Amino acid sequence: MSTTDGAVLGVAPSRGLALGARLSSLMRQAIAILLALHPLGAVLVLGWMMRLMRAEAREARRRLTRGERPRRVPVPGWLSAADDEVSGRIGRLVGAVWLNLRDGVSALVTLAAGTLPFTLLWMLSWWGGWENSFNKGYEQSWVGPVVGLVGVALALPLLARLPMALAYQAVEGRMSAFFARRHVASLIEAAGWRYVGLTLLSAIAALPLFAMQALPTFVEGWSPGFAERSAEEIETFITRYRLLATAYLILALVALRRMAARLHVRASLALEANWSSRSMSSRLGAWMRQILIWACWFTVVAQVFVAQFVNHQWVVWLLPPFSMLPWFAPLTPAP
Amino acid sequence: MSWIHRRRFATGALVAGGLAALSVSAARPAPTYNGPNVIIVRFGGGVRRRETIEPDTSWAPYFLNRLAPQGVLIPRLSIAQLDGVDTSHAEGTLNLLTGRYRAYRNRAEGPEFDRLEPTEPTLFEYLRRAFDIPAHQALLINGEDRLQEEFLAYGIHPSHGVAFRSEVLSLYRFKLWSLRERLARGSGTDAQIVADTKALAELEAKGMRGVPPRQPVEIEAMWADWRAHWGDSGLKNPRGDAALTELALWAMRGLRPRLMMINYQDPDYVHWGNVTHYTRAIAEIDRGIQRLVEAAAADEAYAGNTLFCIVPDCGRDTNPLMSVPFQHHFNSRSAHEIFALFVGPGIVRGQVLDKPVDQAAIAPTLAAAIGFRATRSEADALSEIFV
Repeated sequence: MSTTDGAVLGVAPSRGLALGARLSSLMRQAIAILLALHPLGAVLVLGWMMRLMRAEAREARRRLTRGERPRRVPVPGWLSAADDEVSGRIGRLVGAVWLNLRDGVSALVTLAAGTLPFTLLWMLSWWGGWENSFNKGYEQSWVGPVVGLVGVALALPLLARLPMALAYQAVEGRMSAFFARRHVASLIEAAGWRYVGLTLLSAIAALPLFAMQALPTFVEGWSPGFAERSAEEIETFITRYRLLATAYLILALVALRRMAARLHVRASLALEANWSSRSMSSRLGAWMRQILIWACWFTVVAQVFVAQFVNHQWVVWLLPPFSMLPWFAPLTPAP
Repeated sequence: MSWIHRRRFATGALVAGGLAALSVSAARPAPTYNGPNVIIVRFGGGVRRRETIEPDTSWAPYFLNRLAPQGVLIPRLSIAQLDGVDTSHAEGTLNLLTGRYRAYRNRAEGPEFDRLEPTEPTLFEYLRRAFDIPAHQALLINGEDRLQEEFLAYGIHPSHGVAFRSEVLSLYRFKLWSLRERLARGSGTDAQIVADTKALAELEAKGMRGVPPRQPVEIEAMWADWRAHWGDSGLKNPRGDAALTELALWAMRGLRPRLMMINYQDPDYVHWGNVTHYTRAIAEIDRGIQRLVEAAAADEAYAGNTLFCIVPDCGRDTNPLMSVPFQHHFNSRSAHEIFALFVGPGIVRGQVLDKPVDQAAIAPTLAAAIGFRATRSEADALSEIFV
């Protein structure tokens, strides 16, 4: 086995090599944060995360099937790719650029297909509902709320499967895996309560992001006279604020995606071992887990709506950061 | 010796004081009012100078280019930066009506909010106490969605209060009248009567300050005309702030108000993220002002004898971190920065009063124009705007 990172060699790395690997890992994550400041860069980061999930899953399978002790999985590089990802010398040197782009676009397409059905409804409901309210269209006052509720109802099952479906796509390396409805459902069922835990962590981890969306609304409260600052000072603040939010987003996503990948392996192994959940009690447990997973995602949906109430940005409807592009919408002052 | 509960004693004293005030006013009839008609236009709910009086970015062309040159524009009117002063709608409107800051108490309970009851006399109460003006000629025109603005109609100051109240015209009041009138007639099928009874109970439950059983007969006559023209579905008459303009025009024709305040509110829709709601609402208010001014000029009861005062309740924020920066609850400078325009008889024409002026000065200035003193006001009248 060989990669560009000494930490995954079959032998225990020396202390110097381990430190180098750690620094290299930090550097690669720092690059991800910087790239994610721009939506096009965020597509590359999305691809990079797919490769990270693949590497994590590979390591998890090795550990779980061979009973070996866990090893740290390196974060993928931005230029050079691992031997098992590409072939040829040039591929190894700069292949990561292509892989990030390919996997990023693939994930973007599948995530768009998996989320636009409800995010579009959310956005249209908000626009149509308030537009109607402004125009006092009493005759159609039901349209906005009903479309919004349909969007929420549609979101819960789609969001519930998203982490596992994405992990399955990453591991399989094909877009169609994301849409394998029955298999993803089986994986989720086989993952059991761990998947509920992952969903709960996702909902909790989303809180700071939506708080950071809402916080600028109250800037005069925590920094009186902020609006009177010079344009340069405000620009500096915006840059730093966004960098902080993006750093949190990327680090949280890296952790969550890794967990999803490991969970996918556990579930796959269970299915391979002919795991079954046909007993009455296991069916009941599955239903309970399903309800809890939906409840967790409902809190995320609520976070989206509350944050939009406080600080509205049209783009956030379509790109909720934890379930679409890893991109924190910029603070864009009106002219 | 019987023990008297302190609160009961205080209530009794208040009632006695009120009755004494009423008996004084009853003993000495107030003089007939011969001053100008006054129309206060609240350029609400919350607008910034940038979208209204700044020429390059204004969405109110009639107001700025045609009307302002006919009177005194005060571009540097502001809401004072004081502890407990909120830049919001009811608060700002009461600053305008009482000439004081924090001249209210909040009657909200639990999850309710923004039910501000004036603790100082409003302009309506001053006027009706000083002159013999019936309630139907002291009018508040309110929006249907802001029932809490029923609280603006009168305060609880012992020397003024409900006896000198203004009457409220709103689609809410119209629906109340219409349902009550239908039920009193007993018209319709049994099912319709049941439905009307239920609808009336729901409407009455919405009343935040208790709903008086009747309005003056002159107003009820206007509602009858309104229903004959627009029907009572609420779907044919103009909507939103355009409905307020229509109500004001009907009042001018039918009730001949001597003091009327129109509480426009739709720019506040920008809270929910669509910037065009803000700018379109400002344009709608601009059209409303034009219709009101033209109607006054074409009506002999108002032509040459009507003072217009156009002033926002509050400004809106300029938050440099938001794509929709126009909130108004966060105390930024531009939420305090507003303006005013006075146009009418006795007012200097074509002047810009370019000095800092406090929002509390509006009430005493209007009082001076009408011919009484707003004795409880914190500010002085702006004498320089008068000819």
